[in-house]
Amino acid sequence: MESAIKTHQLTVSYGVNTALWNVSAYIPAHQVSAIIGPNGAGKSTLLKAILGMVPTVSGDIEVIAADGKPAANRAAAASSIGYVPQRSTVDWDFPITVLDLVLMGTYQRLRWFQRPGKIQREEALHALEEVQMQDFARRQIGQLSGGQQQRVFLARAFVQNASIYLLDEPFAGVDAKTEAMIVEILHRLRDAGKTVSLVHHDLTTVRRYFDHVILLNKQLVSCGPTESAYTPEYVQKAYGVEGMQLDGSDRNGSDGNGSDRDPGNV
Amino acid sequence: MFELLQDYTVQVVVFGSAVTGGTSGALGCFAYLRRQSLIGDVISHSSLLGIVGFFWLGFLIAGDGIKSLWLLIPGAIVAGLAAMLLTQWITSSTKIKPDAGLGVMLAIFFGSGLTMLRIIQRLSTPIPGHAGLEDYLFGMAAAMTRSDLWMIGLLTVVSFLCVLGSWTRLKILTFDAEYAAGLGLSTRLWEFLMLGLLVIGIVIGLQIVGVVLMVAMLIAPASAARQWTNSLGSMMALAAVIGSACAGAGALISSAKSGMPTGPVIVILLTLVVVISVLLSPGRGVLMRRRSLVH
Amino acid sequence: MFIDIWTLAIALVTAISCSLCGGLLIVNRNAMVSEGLSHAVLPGLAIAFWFLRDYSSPWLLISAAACGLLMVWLTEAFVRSGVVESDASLGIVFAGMFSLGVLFASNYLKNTHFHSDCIIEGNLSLAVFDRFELGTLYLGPKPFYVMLGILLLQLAFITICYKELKAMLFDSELASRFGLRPKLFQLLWLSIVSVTTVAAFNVAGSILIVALMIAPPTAAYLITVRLSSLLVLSVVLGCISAVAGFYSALAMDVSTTGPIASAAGLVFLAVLFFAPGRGLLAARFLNARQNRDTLDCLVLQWIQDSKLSSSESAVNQPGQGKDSELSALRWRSTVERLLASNLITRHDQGFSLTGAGEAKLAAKLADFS
Repeated sequence: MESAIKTHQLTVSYGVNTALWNVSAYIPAHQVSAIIGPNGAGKSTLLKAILGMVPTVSGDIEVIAADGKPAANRAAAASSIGYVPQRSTVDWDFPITVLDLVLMGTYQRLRWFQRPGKIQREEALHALEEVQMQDFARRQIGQLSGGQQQRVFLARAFVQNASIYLLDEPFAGVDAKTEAMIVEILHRLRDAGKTVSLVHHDLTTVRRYFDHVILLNKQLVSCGPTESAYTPEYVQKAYGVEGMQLDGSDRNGSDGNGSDRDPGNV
Repeated sequence: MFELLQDYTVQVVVFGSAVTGGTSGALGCFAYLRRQSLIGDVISHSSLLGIVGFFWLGFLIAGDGIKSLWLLIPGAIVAGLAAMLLTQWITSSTKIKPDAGLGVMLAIFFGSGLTMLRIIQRLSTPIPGHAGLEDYLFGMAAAMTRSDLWMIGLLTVVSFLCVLGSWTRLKILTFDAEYAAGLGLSTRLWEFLMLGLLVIGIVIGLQIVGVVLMVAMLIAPASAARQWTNSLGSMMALAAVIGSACAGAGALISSAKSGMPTGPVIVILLTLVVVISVLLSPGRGVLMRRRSLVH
Repeated sequence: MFIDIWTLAIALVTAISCSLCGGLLIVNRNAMVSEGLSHAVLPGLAIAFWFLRDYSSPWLLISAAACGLLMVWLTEAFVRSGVVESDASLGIVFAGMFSLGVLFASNYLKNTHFHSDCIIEGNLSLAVFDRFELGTLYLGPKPFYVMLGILLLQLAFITICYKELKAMLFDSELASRFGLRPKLFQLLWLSIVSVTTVAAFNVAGSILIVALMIAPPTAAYLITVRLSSLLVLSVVLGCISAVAGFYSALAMDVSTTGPIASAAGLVFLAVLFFAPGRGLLAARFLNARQNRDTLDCLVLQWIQDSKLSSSESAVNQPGQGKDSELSALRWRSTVERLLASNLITRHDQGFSLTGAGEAKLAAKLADFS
């Protein structure tokens, strides 16, 4: 299996609290994968560790850049990753427009004194079309709904033109329609050869959305293709609860596709 | 008042105040948007220690009381930075909450600054010029000299270049520090630059507004400007205009009439602008929103 | 000498009542409100004085305290409007009100107490000469009795409403569901803080109020987290600061305000470094121990994971990657430590966990779930 990101014996702790313990996992290239686990399982921490935003106690992180070689340093790794943070980390009353926010994705490529120009502007508008938000380009970001904000965040990650996309809970506070739309976009990205990985909460949709699963509860529980890594036994081990309902496919025995359930579980 | 404007000293004072107000106002936008207003208050109070301390040092070295901004502003910068770095260190390595950490630093730095000021004033062989230090409490624009003007100009140009050169970075960092870190920006370095700009925005105005009220000159233009625009660039430009106009007008009123310390006059003008903006701005203004609800 | 004792007594009572107020403000994460209040009461004082021309009229207290509440209300109104950030509104409101006060005082109250030094520093040495006489009997300076009265008011309020206060501070939403009226108690409490600030204003000035309201409680917060002991400790620390500051002011022959504020700061710094449990030194020690413990368990885990592999070198090189955080040096010292404490044993094929080692690792892992 070709992997885009590999961690080896990764341990992260905040004082007395261990957030991640000895996690050796991988995110496969050109697939949509989920990072799943109960609250406080270290899902977001895993993303942040990959991005070099939290100090680690031990372990290696290897990020394969777009050219297929391991990134040499943190800056190179960061430039090949498009990161979509949780919506709640942002001040939505900030004085910028939707277009401005998307343009931030291009800032990494800009030099000192350089401002985003016409090319960047077109890229940003194109990305907004991609998420069907082009009509909102001139709006102040606070005037958007939760789902629309999430789509703008996605567009910002697109213009970064990364090979790997890491999303932190993109479906939190998002309506069912938007969720379906985001999933479609993510699958389109995969089909275009990108790697997508997201922190996910809703167990009922895992089989439908994802090719690959990383199941965490501070320690790694399982990491592999959805069929083999996302089984009732593993889920029970991660959540410590018996009789978890995974999704519709458990009842009729078939796998994944064609579930009759509503995707929105918000 | 028109005759007054022809007076050379008044020209210097009004011009200097306007430039200062503009710079503080523009830089204050970052502080306002990052919710660091009270940090500004603590930095400005703390800088008194640096001002008095460097004045004393200057006397020990040169044997004369030097009140030039070229000596006192570096002092203020040192003390302001020290207070802030200490606060960050304390709040990050203990459970003390930011508000309490800030308050304690204010007490320590401003308390010792004040004590030092009183000691200097009671020295048996007084340092020449020590009386002017008192003006740093509430500001005294009239004390501005031409060489002070150069210092103000230097700080303005430096901060302007910094903002222009790293505009995109500063914007990301202000909007979403987490995303900036995810892009691989060295957060520590940029946070320090941000802090540096904040400190410049404060110390530049100390002579005019004084340490006690400087927070208003930093924050009020930004709060007012925020009501009228939804873009960071125009917000900073507008804040600069508001700060500049109020500071210039305040300095003029203060030199025209006795019993009008510059700092309070400027702050009252600024507060008026904020109140008007909050009530009347289209879209965000409180009164405007009420009306649109009625219709 | 007699006068010095009264001065010290006033300083002590002020310190006690300010520390008490501050204790509750700190817990509520509202420390900077004291900075705002200590400035915003000025216009109330100045205007009431202009009408009455009497420093000791109770109306000064009332109008200034009302001014303090006005500041709290204005700040909240700004925040509620949703268009100004909350900390910015506090900064603008208090600076604006203070400026009004300064301008008023410098135009209409020349040659009185209301000039810049007094506003910031108060005037403790003058306060002593404000005599309180009953008939012909001299009982001491008036400010002392004012502060004492306020202190008693605070104590009464805190003891009677302790439960309600606690509920309001820790979870005002829950408190309102229990019918404990947190809004009402907040208002009552802020009124008392406001009155305290005003009364302390004459003697202490704005800087000392802030210092005494924030430094001792913050220091106490490093030692204890229980509200009752936090209040008691902040009072004790406030008293120490007052005494130390007072005598150093005497020694340096300057007004007492600055030195007491600095003393409060120094007391805080001393506690910051040396407090047991949460002080900097203790925290550093604890941190080092935790890190060592994490590292120990991690190495135990690796040894357990690789007990099937046969050579020592397989265990010897955890994380072969180039930026392995765990250097060979730390690896070696950790292994030595584990060997010494009998958590692992060495044998010809490498290392393996002893019973104690397995128990330690299991305990660590059990912490996770």
